[in-house]
Amino acid sequence: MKKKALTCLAATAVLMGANMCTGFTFACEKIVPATFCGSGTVTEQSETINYAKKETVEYKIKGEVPDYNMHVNETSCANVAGAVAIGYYDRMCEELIPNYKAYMKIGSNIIYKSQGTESQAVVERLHTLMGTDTIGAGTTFNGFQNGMKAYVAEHGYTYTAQDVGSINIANYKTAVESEKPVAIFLLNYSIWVGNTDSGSSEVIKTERSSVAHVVIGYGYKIDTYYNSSNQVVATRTYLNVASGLITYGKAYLCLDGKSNVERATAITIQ
Amino acid sequence: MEELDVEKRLKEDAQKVEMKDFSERWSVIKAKIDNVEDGVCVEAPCKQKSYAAYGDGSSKGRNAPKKFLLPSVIAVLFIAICLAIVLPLTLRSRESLFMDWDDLSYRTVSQSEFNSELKEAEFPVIDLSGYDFDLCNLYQDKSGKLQGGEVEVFDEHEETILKLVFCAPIVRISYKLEDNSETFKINNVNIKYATKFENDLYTTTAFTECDNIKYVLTYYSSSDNVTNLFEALFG
Repeated sequence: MKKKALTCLAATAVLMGANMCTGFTFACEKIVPATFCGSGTVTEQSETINYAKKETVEYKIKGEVPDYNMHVNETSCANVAGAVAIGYYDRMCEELIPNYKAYMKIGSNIIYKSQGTESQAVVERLHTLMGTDTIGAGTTFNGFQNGMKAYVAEHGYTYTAQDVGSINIANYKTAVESEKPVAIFLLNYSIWVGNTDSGSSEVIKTERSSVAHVVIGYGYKIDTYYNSSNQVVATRTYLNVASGLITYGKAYLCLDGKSNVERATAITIQ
Repeated sequence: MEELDVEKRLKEDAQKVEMKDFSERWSVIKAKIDNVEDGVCVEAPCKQKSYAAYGDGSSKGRNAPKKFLLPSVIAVLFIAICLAIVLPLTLRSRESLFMDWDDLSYRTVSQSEFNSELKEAEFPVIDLSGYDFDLCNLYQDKSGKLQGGEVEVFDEHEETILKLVFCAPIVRISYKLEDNSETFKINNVNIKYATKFENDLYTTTAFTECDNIKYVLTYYSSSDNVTNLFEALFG
């Protein structure tokens, strides 16, 4: 009986020690290097802005980008983000996804196909090339860049990533207005989920997740609110992103302190 | 009564038997108790126990719990078995109330697999046999039960794109209709839809329920002909 009790205690101690070690490893990874993982639990938030006048400036890459997504509870957000960028450039570089056309054109309009066998194969190939889940759950920034470079080279093209800061909105605007999607590496993020606007008061609803994530930016929307004296009372900046999550699809990523951007890079494949 | 010869002889023999001291006798017994035979420690816990004898002849104290041990074990087992049967039924009924579309997992299948799995699951989806799909996804819940599907048809010749998502009534699926939504009725099916026209493209989002299955439809076309599609699908 005593021996059994001692064995149980020892096993418990070993398990607790393993958990602590895992926690410390992930904490270290958070510092150097961070791993980007995907979805998680969210908290709802809202804010109200009263105004007399509102102006909106917006832009999106022509045709936008594909809307691929992760399966539930996976850690493949970086792989999906990479596949989104590859699906976008497949229009210009047709061998990026061999024997597959990721979109259709009606007039000048580009409509992308949903995630299927071919695009899922890209996600899986990037999972290997990016070294996903090899050091903790998810993908590091360097893993993303190296994986993208390797995949693109495999198919006979060249990949370049231009730093956009974390996040320099002027550089970001320049990138998307040059029709270049931007990979955004988030330590946490908020997504716009709805609003009610009476014309003088707007209630903005967002959902916040504390999980590190990667999305592809393809546009922006900047709302500027003025009072009756024509003074700016608030500015809200949103980035159009392919979130990689079924819950949100293509969505607005909220800036203004609601999302913590670690890095962002404009992607060019040619 | 006179003693028999046999009795006398027994008495004489009994007096010849040598009786050892108690300490000597106990040391022999104790040695046997502590001896390890064939890797098994021979214990005689009952010899070390003390019993309280009561006037009614019953023996209570440490020996008493044995009487309740078997009934207690039987009672615990019975409760455990009951819980093992009842709990899953209760929890299953709670879990099957509603689930979100995001909670489902999907897999891409061929059109023949798509049709056969829906038929095998007796999923009452509308007749899609006239279409050549570019994409077929089947959605299932955590237990592997089929809860919905997704198909896409990209028709370059007709310049139309159809994206159709369908799910079981217990699945919560979100969609957004523009403010100018209308309702199209055909065969007791009410279809709510809204169409916007931008860059020479008609984009329609529609929602309906048919035979308890929910449908969310997105249709792109160079001409305003979505009602023809509704008639073809739900007519």
